[in-house]
Amino acid sequence: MNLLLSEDLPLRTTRALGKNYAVDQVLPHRYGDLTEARFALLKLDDSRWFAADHPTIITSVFIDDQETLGWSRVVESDGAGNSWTEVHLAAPAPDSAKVSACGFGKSSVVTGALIENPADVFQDIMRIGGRETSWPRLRAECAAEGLLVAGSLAERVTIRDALDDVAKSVGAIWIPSDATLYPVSTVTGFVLDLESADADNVRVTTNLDDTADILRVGYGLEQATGRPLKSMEFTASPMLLGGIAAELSLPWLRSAADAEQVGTRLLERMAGERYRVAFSSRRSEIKPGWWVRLKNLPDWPFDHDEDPVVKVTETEVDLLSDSVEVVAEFLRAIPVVSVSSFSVALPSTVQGAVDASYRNGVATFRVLDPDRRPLSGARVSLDGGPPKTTDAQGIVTFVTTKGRHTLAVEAPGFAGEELEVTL
Amino acid sequence: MMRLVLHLNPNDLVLTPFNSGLAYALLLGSSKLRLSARAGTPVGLGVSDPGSASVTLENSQRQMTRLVPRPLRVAADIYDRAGRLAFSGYVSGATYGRVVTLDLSL
Repeated sequence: MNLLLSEDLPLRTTRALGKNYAVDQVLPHRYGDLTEARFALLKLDDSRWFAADHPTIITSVFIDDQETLGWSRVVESDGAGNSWTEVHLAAPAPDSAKVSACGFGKSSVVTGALIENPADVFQDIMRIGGRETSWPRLRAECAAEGLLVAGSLAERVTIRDALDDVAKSVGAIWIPSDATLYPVSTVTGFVLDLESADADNVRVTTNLDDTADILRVGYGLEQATGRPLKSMEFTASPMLLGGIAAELSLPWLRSAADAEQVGTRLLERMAGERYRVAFSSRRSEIKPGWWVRLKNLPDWPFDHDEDPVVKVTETEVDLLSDSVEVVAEFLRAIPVVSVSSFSVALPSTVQGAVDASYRNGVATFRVLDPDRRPLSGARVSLDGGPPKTTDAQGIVTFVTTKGRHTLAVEAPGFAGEELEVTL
Repeated sequence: MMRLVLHLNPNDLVLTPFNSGLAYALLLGSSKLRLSARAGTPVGLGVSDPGSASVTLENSQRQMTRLVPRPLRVAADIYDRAGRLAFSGYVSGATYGRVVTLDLSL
């Protein structure tokens, strides 16, 4: 069946398992390393729980937040070529129990490798939608950056929105035939040179859409709750927009390094000088995602030493006149973006969080309870040093260096935890 | 030469410009072919439909309705006059009369 991108991804539901379950639920697909991101299992009966609509590895199982060792992984299949993964509990879970698990997502049937490059997740989503498409440019870019994603397709969603969700998590733009990371600080790959005769009626505009000086991103989504467990705040310098802040969820990102890379790129676009460049051209082969260098434009409104290079975002081709209307983005004066603070969630036994920031050689940690209220009286030590006690604001400070540190937190009523933090 | 290729089962149907003298010369014209990069977010980029186009076809003798009685979901490619693939999508809607208009979506 040829599905449009605006139509729902044809995920199977519990009805496909051949029994009349009380609620017809979507059978999820899992991707990437979910060994630290619990995902909810679907109840088939008291002992049988559905994990993923494909063969996969389960590493741990939890009943109401308590890890249990009494389980086995069972890969079932039917005669129609479908295989799925169930978790069978040694003893039935209580009626109201919530069962969740950690593990790995889908593997390539060709290579056996985990599907975690964003371009491979794109490709698999399209394959579920009945299309064979690949994005070699995005695959190479993500591999070069070490960008990996992890997450689940666990609810009804259009093909387009499923792709968008992954794309926004890694800062990518896409059309069905191409996808690329954007923005990037340096122009790489193919650039189409357009002489002034091939770029008519150039209009350059700007506005306040999608602008910010400070960006907070949430990542490390806990699949079982839909809650981002970690956050990172970025600040642009100079602040050209008066300190406007924006928030963004990057639900398919898991690692701090990936969040830092993507958040930095996104704020570079949001905080910099950004212009919408529209022009007409006879080069009707131009497509969204292309870099175009506008050469020797007599009406280019800015002083410049080099010809501007713009990223094409929209095209409208007129086949009758063999011409194209192009809309592109031009970034200039990209600010310096740095991480101003980050928050790491404590493990689920604590369900609090620690906000961390670093400035002028001083690390500041704010310990929060599960409702994100300051937790006073918590004992915090850095790299095994003498502990300090948080004040009424939940804050404690240490003079230290930038880099990776071990943070130990003990709080009344909570289990002690050690966290790796990078300042 | 501009062409519209409809990927019917089992054979493709290649429609050529009206009055071209070629087989299936029923293609009257095409709208502008729109493509837009999507990102999901940030909000200023990629929030519109990723692409669309429409083509008009001669149907005064009911040629198109006989050739393609059920066009919905048929894969369709539009080639420009230089023979380059300019748009690739699926038929998402059709309007019938002496002219048939096929709406294409991605």
